[in-house]
Amino acid sequence: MADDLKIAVASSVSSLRAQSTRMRVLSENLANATSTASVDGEDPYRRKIVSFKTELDRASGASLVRVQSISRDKSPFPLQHDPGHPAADQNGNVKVPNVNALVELADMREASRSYEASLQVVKQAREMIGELVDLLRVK
Amino acid sequence: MNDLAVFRIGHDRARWLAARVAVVASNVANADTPGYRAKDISPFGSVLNEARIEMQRSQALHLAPGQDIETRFGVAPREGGIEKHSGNTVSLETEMAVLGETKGQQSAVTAILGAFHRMLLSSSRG
Repeated sequence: MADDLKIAVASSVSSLRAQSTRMRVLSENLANATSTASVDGEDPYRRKIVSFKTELDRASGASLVRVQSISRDKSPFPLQHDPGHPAADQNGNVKVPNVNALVELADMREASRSYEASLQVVKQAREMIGELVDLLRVK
Repeated sequence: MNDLAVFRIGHDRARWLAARVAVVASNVANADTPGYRAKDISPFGSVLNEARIEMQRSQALHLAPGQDIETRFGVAPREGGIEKHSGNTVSLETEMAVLGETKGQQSAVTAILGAFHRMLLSSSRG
């Protein structure tokens, strides 16, 4: 029976790992929210998107989660008028990254909520294992 | 000791609770996976009523029977979930509530087993 609790811990740990990857990518997006190109014609930083996938662990039968892919957001770059910028075109417009700080922050909250929930499951599974082991103690 | 029904039922109950925590853990882990449907384990009553006969293995190469939770207890989609835009039906609130419930039930099982164990000890010590 402790095996099932171990499976629970394994699923939660896979989730913690996936959520931290998501958090890393989100902070990369935020950090590069103003990274433009240095020459006209080049593209600025393109937003990254993380997607998850369920993975069945055949040995234990646990459904784990893993990062399926880190892809790029295909939405167009917004234009900003800044004639003095080195990457400005003939009209004085500069392509800026398609990163919206608000969206990234909301996504970050969601990631940390899922992370906390998984952490709670790990804590509780450990407590339950502890309770079972405590049965061995003669009171 | 296995002849005492209370220990056998307590054992089955603890196994069922552990399996339920594992199912909740996989729901929570897949809370952000597109298309994932929240699952729940069959109720304990139906598990008790169904006597499952396990196959014996005579060789290590034989397929191990009843390894995963689904074959041991039966897993069904959780009812009453709201589907999100991504096709995911996990609600973290529901999962946390079930987790808390399981914890309470497990404490009850260990308390009862402990109490009966103490009774046995006190009668055998005289």
